[in-house]
Amino acid sequence: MIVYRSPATTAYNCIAWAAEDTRRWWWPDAMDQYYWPPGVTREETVEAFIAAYGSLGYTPCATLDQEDGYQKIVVYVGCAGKPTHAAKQIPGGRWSGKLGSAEDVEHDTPEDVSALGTEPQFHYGAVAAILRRKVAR
Amino acid sequence: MADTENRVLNMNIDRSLLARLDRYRFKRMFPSRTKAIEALLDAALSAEQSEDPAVEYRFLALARRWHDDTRLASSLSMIAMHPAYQEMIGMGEQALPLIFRELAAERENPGHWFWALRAITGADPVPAELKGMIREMAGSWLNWAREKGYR
Repeated sequence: MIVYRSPATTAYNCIAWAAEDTRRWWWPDAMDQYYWPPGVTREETVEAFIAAYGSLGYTPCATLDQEDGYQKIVVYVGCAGKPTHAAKQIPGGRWSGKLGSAEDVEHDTPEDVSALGTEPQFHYGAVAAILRRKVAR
Repeated sequence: MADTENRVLNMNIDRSLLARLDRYRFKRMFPSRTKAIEALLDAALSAEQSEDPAVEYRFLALARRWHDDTRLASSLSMIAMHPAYQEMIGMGEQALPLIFRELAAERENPGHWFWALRAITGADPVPAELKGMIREMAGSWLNWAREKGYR
């Protein structure tokens, strides 16, 4: 089930939201118009997105299960093989994401938002990376 | 004056330049001009800058399709490589007044017009420290537009 949690805004996107940044739109666009962490390769690959979150202390892990003392992020890849979306795990094990220029949502599983969008080429697709970092307890 | 204008038109000079010259002339004629006169002058200049209603109609239809398809997208590849967006870029300079008008109207939630503006104008007025800050980016482009005489 998807629950809408905020009004629509273009102030930030899902990649920023997962990184706890609600002031900027993160993307490694080729025209260099959007924010991307300094020193991280500016390209639309899963590796570059892992490195972007790596700059915040996240490292790859194997499971979506909630782990005590860890915060988790998932990165989605669409049918074109490029990153499309990210979501972060919230207390209780559910997931929170920002839908492009639209609202913040909460959902039970990462797959709940995989097929949102008007056409398959705009769908978020499947989880391609699971990341985690330790949080202060 | 009419002869001069005809000669200028025959030289294929941008009509919006003539509109701006007219605006200047009216300001000289009515130094204590009222808000109503200002509004009329603005409307006249705006009409000059989006001369062809068919251009505006086409632009708005493309913008609507682009917005509907990419509203949920974070990816700039998806957003800026959308066929409707590419078609708006292909409209070139005649799309600029319409893009600036959209950007101004969307002030609280500006759309992703930045690739199109960069591609059409070749300019990049957004300072590095504001990259990704959408409202500030829109503000930088609207300032640039004002400096260049767009309304």
